[in-house]
Formats: sequence, structure tokens, C-alpha cells
Amino acid sequence: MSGDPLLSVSGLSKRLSGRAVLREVNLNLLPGQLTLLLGPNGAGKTTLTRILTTLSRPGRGVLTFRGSRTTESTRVRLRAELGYISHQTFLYAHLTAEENLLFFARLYGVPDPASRAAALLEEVGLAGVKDRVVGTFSRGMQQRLSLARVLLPDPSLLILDEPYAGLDPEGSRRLTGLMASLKARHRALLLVTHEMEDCLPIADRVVILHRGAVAWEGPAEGLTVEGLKARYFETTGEGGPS
Amino acid sequence: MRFIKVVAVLFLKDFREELRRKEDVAASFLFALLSLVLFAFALDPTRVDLNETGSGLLWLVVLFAGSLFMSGSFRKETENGTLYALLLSPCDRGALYVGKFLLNFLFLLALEALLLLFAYLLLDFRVSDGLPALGAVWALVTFGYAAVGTLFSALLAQVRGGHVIFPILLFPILVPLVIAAATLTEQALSPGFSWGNQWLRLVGLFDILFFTASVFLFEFAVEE
Repeated sequence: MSGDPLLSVSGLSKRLSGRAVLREVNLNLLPGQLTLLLGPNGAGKTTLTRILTTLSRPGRGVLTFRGSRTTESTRVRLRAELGYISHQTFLYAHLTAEENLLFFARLYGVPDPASRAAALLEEVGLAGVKDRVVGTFSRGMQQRLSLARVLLPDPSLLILDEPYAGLDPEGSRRLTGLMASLKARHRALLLVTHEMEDCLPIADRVVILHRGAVAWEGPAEGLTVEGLKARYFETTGEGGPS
Repeated sequence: MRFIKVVAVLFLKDFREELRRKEDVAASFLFALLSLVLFAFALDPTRVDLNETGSGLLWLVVLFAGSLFMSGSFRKETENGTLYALLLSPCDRGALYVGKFLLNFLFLLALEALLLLFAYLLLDFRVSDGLPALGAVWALVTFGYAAVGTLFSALLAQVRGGHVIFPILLFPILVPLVIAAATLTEQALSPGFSWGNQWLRLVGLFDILFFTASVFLFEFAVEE
């Protein structure tokens, strides 16, 4: 499935403390596609995701959302359609699971927050513990709740930065299944991870970032985990992700 | 309308969270109370008239106790990355600032009310007929203090040791406000308080200037 890119960057460069962190990066995120972003530590993955999520501004280059160059107002529109998951849970430890979801639903202006929160708690298997404070949850439960939080506004674009961190095999399997179903629902996904085994089969494109630049980009179709590891070593000179 | 809704949603979330966390509220109230107890032992009421010199002491306590609470306003949002979650939401970032400001402002007012009560009990600090004027003056000064404190809390949220630097950076900016606060407190407690006095105008100007600037500067304070 393809079409016009939902979000794209072209000629993106960024310097931090005088050092070039991103150099002339081009990337397109298309609806119904999962793009796998790989790269060694310090390659610029986090800086790139921060720019894509509007948490940081590009130094040079253009960020385009739904065909329009981003301005202040389109940045707000982008945020409304964006879901972002990182290794941090973005949850309030002293609030219950339900209170967390209700808070974010109201912040996003989701219609009928109570029923939307209830439906998502059911979907991620946490309806039975909705009244427990999040601080008592295991890492896996928090990550599931984090997924529910992200899905509250039904985002058309999801950026997942190391979402597998700390997840047990069951949690990882559930996450992969969810990403596949989101892809099937025509959502654009960008996945930054070191875990290729689980997600390569559902990926459409693979981008390898090295020293701030795109070192390799290609379709995921036909790629095996071993083949990708070899490609990763070839382009970065480092051992591949797991 | 959406702006006000976001302010209310954030305020209610923070209020609920503070009630459950308790640590900052407790630390701030305890600090204020202990300071007054120390003053009660250290100052000889036969030599020092606290109704004349007490206003400065009370504002000193408000400043330190208030900074204990306010410095954590945005730092707490960095614990699980929730600050990013707030910034990623499609709402006006100024509303996020105002929501936080509102909680700080109301907390400081509650702290001051309790402080006045204990100052009366421990130091025989008498407000008597000056209470309406004193209330208005303290509310105005507190507004400015909370406005600047909330902005600095955001600025230092992601700085290592930010809670230590917080008072060091904040207090110099508050100097005109604190001088005005001490003077106005004395005046409010004496007969013939004038609502058009210059100190009051200075505080009003400080409030408008810093609150407006903070709402607009907040976006830059939290962005990289």
C-alpha cells in the first residue's frame, strides 16, 4: 500500500553543540507502510525522531506534513495526528491507568473520553486493573498502557522509538501484532529498534542511519534477518542489531 | 474555550497528583512551619516588634517554602517523560504554562494563609483590620512570584541539579517584588492604606509583564 507521503523530510541537517548530528537526510513515511529505522548508537536516530515529532526544530531542510511544509499551525495539526512511543512510558505513576487515559483523552480533545478509554483498556488487556496506580504496574503493563495512550486520538502516524525495551516475549509479540494491525488500517509507522527478528516480517522499508546520514535504504521485501545484518555491517562497520 | 479547557484539565491532573504524592506539599508546609518556630525562639518579643519587622521575615519564609514547591512543577514531568507527552499534545503550549501556574498560585495562597495563622499563634503577628488590604496585596505579589517561578521551573526542568539552581536564578529577579511585598505588607497593616500607592502599581506592572511574557516565552523555554 502506498500513496503520497504523510510525513516527509528532505535535506534535513542538524547540528548540536557544533557537531553535525544529521546530514542531508531524506525520509518519507507513507500510509499503510512500516519503515524500520536502524543505526548504531549516536547515528542520529533520536534527533531525527525528535524532529519528526516536532519536539525539536530542523537546522536545515524541510519537514512536510500531508504535502504542506510545516508551519506553526501545521505542527499543531501534525501533533494531533501523531502517536509517539519511546522507551519512556509517558505515564503518571501516581495516577491510575484509567485516570492517565482520561487525562490524555481530554488533552487531545477526544470525544467521549470515558468510553474511548474503557475501550482501549479492554483492547490492551488492562481493563481489570484500571483503578490501580500505574506505579504498581510491571514494565510490560506500563508499555501496554502507553500503547493505549498513544491510540487515544486514533493517530494516522506512529513513531515508535525502541518500544521493545523491557518487554517480555508475550509483550513483544503483542506489540508486533498491534503494529501489523495498525499498518493494515492504513497508518504510517516509523519503528526505531534493534530488534529485527520480530519486526522485519511486517516492515516495508528499511533505512540504515550512520553518522547522521542515510547509509542505506531499500525495500524490506526479500530481506532476511541475516541479509539485513550483513547489510548493516557493510554500511556501518559495526555488528548488527539483534 | 479550548485554551481554558486545557488549563482546567492540567490543573485538575496536577492537583490530584500532588494530593497523592504529598512530598513537595509536605516539605513546603513543614519548612514554613519550622521557620516560624525558629523565629519564635530566636526573636525576643520584648525587644522586636514583629508587627513592624515581621513582614520581611514572613516574605522570606514564603520565598523559600514556595520555591521548594514550585521548583518541582515541571521537574516531576520529566520522571517518566510526561513533559514530552504534554508537548506532543495538539494544544496551545501557553495553556500548559497557565495550568501549572494556576496550581502554583493557589498553593502559595494556601501556604500564606497557613503562615499568617501560625505567625499569629507563634509570633503574635496581628492582622486585625488590615486583612482585606493584606489579602489583596499578598495575592498580587504571589501572582507575580508564581508567574516567574513557573517559567523558571520549566526552564530548569531538564537541567541536572535544576532544583538547586532554581532559587539562585529566581531570587535576583524577584528583588523588586520582594521589596515591594515587605513594604506593602507593613503599609497594609497600618491605617490609611492607599490603593493607588506606587508600590502597588509596581507590583501590578510586574505581574502583567512577567505573566504575559511567560505565556509567550514558555514554548521556547521547553523546546530544545
